[in-house]
Amino acid sequence: MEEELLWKQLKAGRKSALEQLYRSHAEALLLYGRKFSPDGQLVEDAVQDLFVELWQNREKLSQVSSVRSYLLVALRRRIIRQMDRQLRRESPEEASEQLFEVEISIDEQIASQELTAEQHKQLNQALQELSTRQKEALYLKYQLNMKYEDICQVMDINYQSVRNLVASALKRVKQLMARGWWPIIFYFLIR
Amino acid sequence: MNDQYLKYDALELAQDEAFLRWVREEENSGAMQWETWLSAHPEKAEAVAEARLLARALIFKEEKTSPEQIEQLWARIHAATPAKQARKPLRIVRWGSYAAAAAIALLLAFFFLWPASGEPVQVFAQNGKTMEAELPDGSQVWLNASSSITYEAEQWPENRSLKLAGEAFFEVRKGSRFVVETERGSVEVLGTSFNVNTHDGQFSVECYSGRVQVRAGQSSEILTPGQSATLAEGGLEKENFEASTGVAWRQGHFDYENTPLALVFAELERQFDVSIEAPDSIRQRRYTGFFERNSLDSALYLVCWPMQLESNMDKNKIQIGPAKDAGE
Repeated sequence: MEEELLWKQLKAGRKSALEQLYRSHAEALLLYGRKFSPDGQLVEDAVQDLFVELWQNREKLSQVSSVRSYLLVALRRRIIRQMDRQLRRESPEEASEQLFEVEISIDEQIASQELTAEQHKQLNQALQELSTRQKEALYLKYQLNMKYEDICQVMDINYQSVRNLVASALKRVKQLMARGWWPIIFYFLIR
Repeated sequence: MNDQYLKYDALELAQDEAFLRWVREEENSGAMQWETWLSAHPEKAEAVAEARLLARALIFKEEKTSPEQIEQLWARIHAATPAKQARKPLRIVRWGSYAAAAAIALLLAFFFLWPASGEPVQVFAQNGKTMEAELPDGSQVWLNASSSITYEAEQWPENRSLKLAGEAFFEVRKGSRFVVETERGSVEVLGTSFNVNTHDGQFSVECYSGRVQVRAGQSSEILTPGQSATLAEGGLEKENFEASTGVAWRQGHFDYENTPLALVFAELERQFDVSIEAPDSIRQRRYTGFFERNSLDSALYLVCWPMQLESNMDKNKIQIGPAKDAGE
């Protein structure tokens, strides 16, 4: 409701609405952007351009169901376009391959239960075996806590595909956990 | 607590939004209900523990952003988005376009809405559409799908009164008495926001701000924000609801708690402009959950899957029956 109001105020030309939207989404945007490109400057520039364009085109903005997914989609397109351009300039013969680089961090609670370095490595290996799309879907769902409906929009695929992506990725991670992770599961059991 | 969770395994739990809210210890995540449920079903403890670990393991490494970085970037954006200078010339353009829009609106009003002395104005949102309308005094109405309002524009300044069929959300400008009449009851306010639903023989009113007087037959209730009144056999029943999240249908969200599927199907039909066929034995069953307006596929899935139902679509006709493969 509040976001909807901010969006309306932005359309009406209220600069404070732009600032509030920036402040509530900047961090997520910067972090998400970095998953596509290791180039921090490129990501910052993309976020800047995104908000500047949002302001310039404010009167033409349509209603959106989720401001966050709107911004994530816009940033994603911008970064991929920019990277394509850079790549074509540097090595025109190479086909661009889209990346989504993520790594699991050790949750403090698990870490305190002596998750071995080995298990941590296994988890990350399982993650790296996943496809780019699977990793992105997991990231949006578990890191940014987004709803399936909003993930559809960001990744531009239908609802069932998102569910399949998440389910298959999760299954893979779970298979891995089935091997030798019982002590940790037990910890959660008695908690 | 929903019984569908009894059928969930660890993987399904770890994907469930309500479950994740609980595991992440978010506010209002219904922790009490989850814990009660868990102690009533100790056989689910293992699945819950596994799902919890899955959800907790999926925390990704982030190179943290610093407050300075956020500030500096805002300074750059701020400098590149002048509010005042750019707006002055723009404002003239905008007034121009407002004037043009107003002229067109007037013209349209003249042709379509101008009441031939006393002929009422009707605003109608058809199946699959919602609609926003402004009343002569600037009050706003949002019509849900398959709903209409009718009023006398000429008499509006003296008599703010309209007839509603279906469901609508009102934001009423402060002023004289404002009355919404429906088949089964009426709502009276001075200046406030509230939702009225009369679909499928219901009469229910939710108050979001101000005060609302609801009348149905002999019974009458005064509602304050966060209170709702629903017409039951014995008259109006007052209850509390969560008003801070706003009217769900306006955001395309439809929530149900122990609601007969017949009502859920009727809403699906209105929202997606489809027709649904299902045996009465299914229509009588009760559903707890939600669906959203953005996709028919996902809505059908969200309603059918937990009830172990299956849907088949042919053009705009949907047949719903028991799922053949209930193990999925």
